[in-house]
Amino acid sequence: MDAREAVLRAVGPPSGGTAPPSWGSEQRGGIAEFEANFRLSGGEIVGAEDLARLPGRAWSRDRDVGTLPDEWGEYTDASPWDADLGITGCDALVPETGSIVVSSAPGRGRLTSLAVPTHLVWADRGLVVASLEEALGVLGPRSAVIVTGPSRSADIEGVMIRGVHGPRRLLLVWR
Amino acid sequence: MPLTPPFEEFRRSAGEGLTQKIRLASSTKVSQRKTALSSAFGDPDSARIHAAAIKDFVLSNLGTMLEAFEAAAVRRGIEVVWARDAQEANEAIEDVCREARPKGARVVKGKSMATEEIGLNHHLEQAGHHVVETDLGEFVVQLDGDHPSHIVTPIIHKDRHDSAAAFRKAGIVLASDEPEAIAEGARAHLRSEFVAADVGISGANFGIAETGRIVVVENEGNNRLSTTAPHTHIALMGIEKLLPRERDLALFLPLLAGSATGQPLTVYTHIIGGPREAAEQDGPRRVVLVLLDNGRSRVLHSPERVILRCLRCGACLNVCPVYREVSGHAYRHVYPGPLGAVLAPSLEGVEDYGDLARASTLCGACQEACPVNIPIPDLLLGLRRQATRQGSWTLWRRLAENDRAWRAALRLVPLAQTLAPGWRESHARLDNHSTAAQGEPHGRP
Amino acid sequence: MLERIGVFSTCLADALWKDALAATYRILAHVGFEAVPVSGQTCCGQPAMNNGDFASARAVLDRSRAQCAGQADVVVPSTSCAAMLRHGASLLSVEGGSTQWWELGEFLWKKCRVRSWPALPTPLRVVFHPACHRRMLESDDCHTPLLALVEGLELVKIADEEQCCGFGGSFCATHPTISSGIAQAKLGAIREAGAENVVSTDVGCLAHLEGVDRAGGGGLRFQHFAEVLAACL
Ligand code: SF4
Repeated sequence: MDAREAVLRAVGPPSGGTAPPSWGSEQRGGIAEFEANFRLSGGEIVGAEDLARLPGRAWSRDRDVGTLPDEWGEYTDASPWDADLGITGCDALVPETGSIVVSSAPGRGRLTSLAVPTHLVWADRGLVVASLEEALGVLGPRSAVIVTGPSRSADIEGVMIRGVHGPRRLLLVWR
Repeated sequence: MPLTPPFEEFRRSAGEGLTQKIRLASSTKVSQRKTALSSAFGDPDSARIHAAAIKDFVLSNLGTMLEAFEAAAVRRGIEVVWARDAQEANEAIEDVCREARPKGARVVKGKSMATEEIGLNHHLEQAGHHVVETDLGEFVVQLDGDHPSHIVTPIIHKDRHDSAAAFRKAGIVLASDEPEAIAEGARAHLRSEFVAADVGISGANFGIAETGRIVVVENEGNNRLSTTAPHTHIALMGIEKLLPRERDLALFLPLLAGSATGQPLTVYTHIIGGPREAAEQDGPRRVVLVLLDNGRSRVLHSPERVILRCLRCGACLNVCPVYREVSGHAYRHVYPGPLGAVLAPSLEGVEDYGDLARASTLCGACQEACPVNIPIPDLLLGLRRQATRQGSWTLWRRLAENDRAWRAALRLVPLAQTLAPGWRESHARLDNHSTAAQGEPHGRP
Repeated sequence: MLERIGVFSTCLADALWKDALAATYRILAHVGFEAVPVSGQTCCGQPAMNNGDFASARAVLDRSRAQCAGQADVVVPSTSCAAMLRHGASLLSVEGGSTQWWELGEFLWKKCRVRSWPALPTPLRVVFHPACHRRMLESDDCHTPLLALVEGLELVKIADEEQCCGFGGSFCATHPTISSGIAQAKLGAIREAGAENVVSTDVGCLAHLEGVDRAGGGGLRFQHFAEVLAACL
């Protein structure tokens, strides 16, 4: 008997029934709530006036963010491992948690939001959804990440540290 | 049972310092949990009861759920391997590592209790692979040759200087002993490991039966780097970790994050849908999921069945008065605290771990904190029963069946208490109240 | 004629804290009942149950429940014994009988709907320690609302107020260092809050905390919940 068969046999037959309904959150947020919770999670919302002060000039960006506006200044394309800044789009913004949903896809790298010291999300206000449940419905078909604030750890004496392995800063600029 | 139970022994030798540290950290975590859950859910209690019902449905239909999950995962290009026990899981993982680099793979690991459970690191190192823990706490544990003492915050028993010493012993330079500097040291050191790794290994917090995706939550980003950068990603998941639908995550993610660390969600929730597509620029080329039984199917048919609802959030450890006194190592098992006091004897037998079930005041704080409402005190009682000869209290029973004899015996209680050695140490004098209303039975005036 | 009601005394109160029983009878008389001890009562069965001998526990619990047969309501001045008579019975699959077992505070707040209480003769600052087995009663907090009715009584909040006292029945004998360590954490929080009086619903908790407090030379005063309410009468 192979392992699969053995485990399934040991688990035994199903008892049937229907699954309890999903939780159905009643959260109904909007842009203002998203912005507040995004900041609470440690994210920073930056405006046009801050763009000239973006860290470094070696940038890694997802192809699907398109051409960056001129006022963002000059930059050079870099691999996510070497970049000062990673720029991505996103699929949804979750008001109740201040989270950003980034699905992977051709043209959408996974390391661009991860291996860089600063992650900048270039987002459309129209992507703010009503709830986490709704955001889960717009995940891409492959992999995705829900990002809630910059990388952190409290492993040492419970002291909060930013940027342990992932980005130390999480920025958002509205399109 | 030995005269001094192992727990008692541990507490006596560990001393006040450790206890103070754990008490303080636990107390902070408890208040953070409460705040997070009450802001995430209008009624956190009904959320956890609903979550328990969903997990119970999964457990009652585990076979069909596993088959559905497997089929959906395979359609996504995820290779699914089944493992009856730790050895099969270790071998399956080692096989994949060997395929990635026959002469010894470079392996980066995200935090995973399941890999601790099967002793994976030891197995891979024996087979010639180079394994690095990349979670900050787990990295310190690995450098120190120690064991995690908490399932969420593995080095709760160490302070900054202990951690810094572990780095220095391993030749890693730190600017100072400050937590920031330690994290910076780890980041710099582990960067090159991520870039060079052939294989990344993670656990899994959830598997979605409907879509075949795997969900991993974390705060540091090391887990995501481990599952993204290397050519091959291997995930080890207990068979009980399934959820029916992706939208169930809307309940389980905030419940888990809130219960574990008091966050609305963890910083990263990875929803892993398989290897990269041809047109994608990064992500693993191979994803292997190992489904681990290792006693779980036996627990499923035991009285402790509902412990399989567990999300490994650690909330029961943080509220537990006994855990706060002794911390995780006293439990002698990878799963400490109230969760471990049930799971360890249930998986390994009451002969070896029955004393864990006795090291509890049965206060019930664990069940109250548990995001899936596991009745841990009831399960502990059941385990005590399994480890006890029924009828061993017959003398007591006879006494309690005769009210005259009983009343006579009760008069001796204060005396017995002052004479019992354990009591004498901690209970100086208990007889003052018993003199107050003597005479009438049951103190009726 | 006054309505009769049974009182299940509980072993620890009987052996160690008879004042709590006397107070219980006075309180029940005040709210209009003729309280009588359940005749022939002994123990609820907890010691054997907690030590894993379910068979012996069941026999004793069964007997105690049978002693109450015919009584609609029985009051128990101990949270853990009330929990044993209710939740413990369901764990042991002990069924039958129509008696309702009430923890004292529950009975006053829920059944008698007590919403006012006489004042204390002298003001008192107290820490209320909620007995852990309240969780097995699956009932809302009835005690702090009752204590809040008492003029002259100031409830003092302490850190980690929901934490156990460390008693745990025979746990405190098998694991004395851990048990008293837990109690010390509780006593520390009480002292930090600047309170001198500790009130709880279970003699187990009270006796344990008092014992550890005395061993450390502390001077806190411990009272059963019933004693505080009775002091107003
Ligand atoms: S038993 Fe409950 S509280 Fe404890 S770790 Fe598991 S899910 Fe969390």
